[in-house]
Amino acid sequence: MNSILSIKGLGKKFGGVCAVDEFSLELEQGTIHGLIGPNGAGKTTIFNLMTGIYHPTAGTMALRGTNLVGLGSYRIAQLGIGRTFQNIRLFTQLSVIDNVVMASGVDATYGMVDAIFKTRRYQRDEAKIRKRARELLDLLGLGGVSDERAGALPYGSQRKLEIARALAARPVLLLLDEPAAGMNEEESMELVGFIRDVRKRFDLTVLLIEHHMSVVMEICDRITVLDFGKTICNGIPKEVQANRSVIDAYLGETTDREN
Amino acid sequence: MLSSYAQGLIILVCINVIAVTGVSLLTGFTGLFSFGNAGFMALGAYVSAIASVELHAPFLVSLVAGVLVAAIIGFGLGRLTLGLRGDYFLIATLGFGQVVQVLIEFFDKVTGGARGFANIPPKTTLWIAVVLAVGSVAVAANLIHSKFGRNFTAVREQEVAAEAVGIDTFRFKQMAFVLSAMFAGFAGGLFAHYYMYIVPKMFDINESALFTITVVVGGLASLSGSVISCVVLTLLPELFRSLASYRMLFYGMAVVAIILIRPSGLMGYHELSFGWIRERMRAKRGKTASKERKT
Ligand SMILES: Nc1ncnc2c1ncn2[C@@H]1O[C@H](COP(=O)(O)OP(=O)(O)OP(=O)(O)O)[C@@H](O)[C@H]1O
Ligand SMILES: [Mg+2]
Repeated sequence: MNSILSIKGLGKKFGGVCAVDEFSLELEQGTIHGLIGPNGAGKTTIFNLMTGIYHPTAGTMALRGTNLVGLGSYRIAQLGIGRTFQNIRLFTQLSVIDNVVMASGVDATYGMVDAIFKTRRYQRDEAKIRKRARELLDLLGLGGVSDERAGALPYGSQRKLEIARALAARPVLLLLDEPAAGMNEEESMELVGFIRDVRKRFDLTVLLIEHHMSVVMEICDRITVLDFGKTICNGIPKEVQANRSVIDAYLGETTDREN
Repeated sequence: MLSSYAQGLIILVCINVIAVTGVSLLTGFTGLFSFGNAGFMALGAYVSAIASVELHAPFLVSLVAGVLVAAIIGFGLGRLTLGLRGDYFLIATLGFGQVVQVLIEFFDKVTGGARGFANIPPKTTLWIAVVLAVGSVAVAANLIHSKFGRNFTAVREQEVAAEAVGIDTFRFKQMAFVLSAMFAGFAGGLFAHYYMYIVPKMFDINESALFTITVVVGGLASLSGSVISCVVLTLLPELFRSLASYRMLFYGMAVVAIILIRPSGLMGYHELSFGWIRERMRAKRGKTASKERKT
């Protein structure tokens, strides 16, 4: 097994509340891993810990052997973890394509002098960045709205734009926080196809938080189930679906919710 | 040839444009508010003036010395204060502006104190001022259209997302702050070598406030808006001399009017360009056309 991410004994307390407790995870390169559980289970908190927005109160995290604990968010992103946000965080005032271009810092190798004098190096990098941004937007089916204001897009398109923006930074591990929220069944299935596609094309590993069980069961190689910050199950989709405590804590509840 | 009064006005506009360009990078693009930029202008003015008068340095060397000192102090101040929340940063810069004034008065052996520093050689001619102002705006415009400007904008728009795509927000706040200090120091050096006589009062908090107001009126995220607003707000009180004592009142009213009529400022989020003008005209025509259809 070729592990890309290794988390051991991760914990986070907010005051007295234990949002994440003894969380461990090994991600195999190239896989899609699901993270599910009821509302408030601690899923988003784990993403925030992994991306340096929160700092853990216990445990270790490493990406390809590099320690992540204590690093700034931007540094973790530069090391190769990209993410989307459950509560969408686009640059709403800017155009769709500018949102993607903003994230292309890795492809801009020029310095300040190049920028001031618009040297050939500056022009070459900028042309490359624009071209790649357009390719990413086309890939997500947003090519037609690239000059619109990002904040004016419908919800589903905003979620897709967040994915395009995350990809522009060339991550090796992509964290998706409820990418199908607000999408109908058809759009969700389209998203599934898309996630598979980019995983392959960009040689990505994906960690996915999602409440749409059809999406999760369809796409994930393995799934971890959380409840009140604790891991109650970890296995392939079949095992998870058959697990008694998962049904009690979550799957039963979602069936109820959907009915 | 222009009268010396007109020349003086143009030079004043050019100097203000340079300082405001720096504040535009800091406030309009990075979203940080500073009430200390007149302090950096004072540093540039005094350092370059002392270099010219006491050390007989050539004009260019004096100017560069002023810019460098402003940059170094800006870097140190940024390091200490940019980690603070926005409003605390603002208060820290305000304090900095005051401290600069007090220090200039305290070291009166070198600076002339409250009596001022005189006999500065008149080196800032009309052409030098115009060329340097145009050059400064061009440098800022090119920076804005590069990854540097994008990273400033990302800080202003959405810090969490900026970090999530790998932008070191602290570093780019620091960069914008140092750049704004450098532009202010540069403007200060030109100012000193135009008026030939400087006193600390010329660089007080009012001056800092005017820079910020100019940028807000011109519109956030618009360098051309800042420049236009700077030209208008510098010239209007000068042209209506009798109103000069109401200058602050005038600025205040301009701000209130802008906030009420166009909250994003004169040119908020737009740059003046032929494409933009054409688009506006088309939009207007579209609006009138649809109105006609309705009636
Ligand atoms: N900044 C914070 N301060 C205090 N408590 C927090 C904070 N962030 C999260 N929590 C708490 O941690 C727990 C886990 O929240 P989290 O957002 O991780 O849940 P989640 O699994 O993502 O839920 P959902 O499915 O609703 O998105 C909740 O009880 C929440 O109230
Ligand atoms: Mg969540």
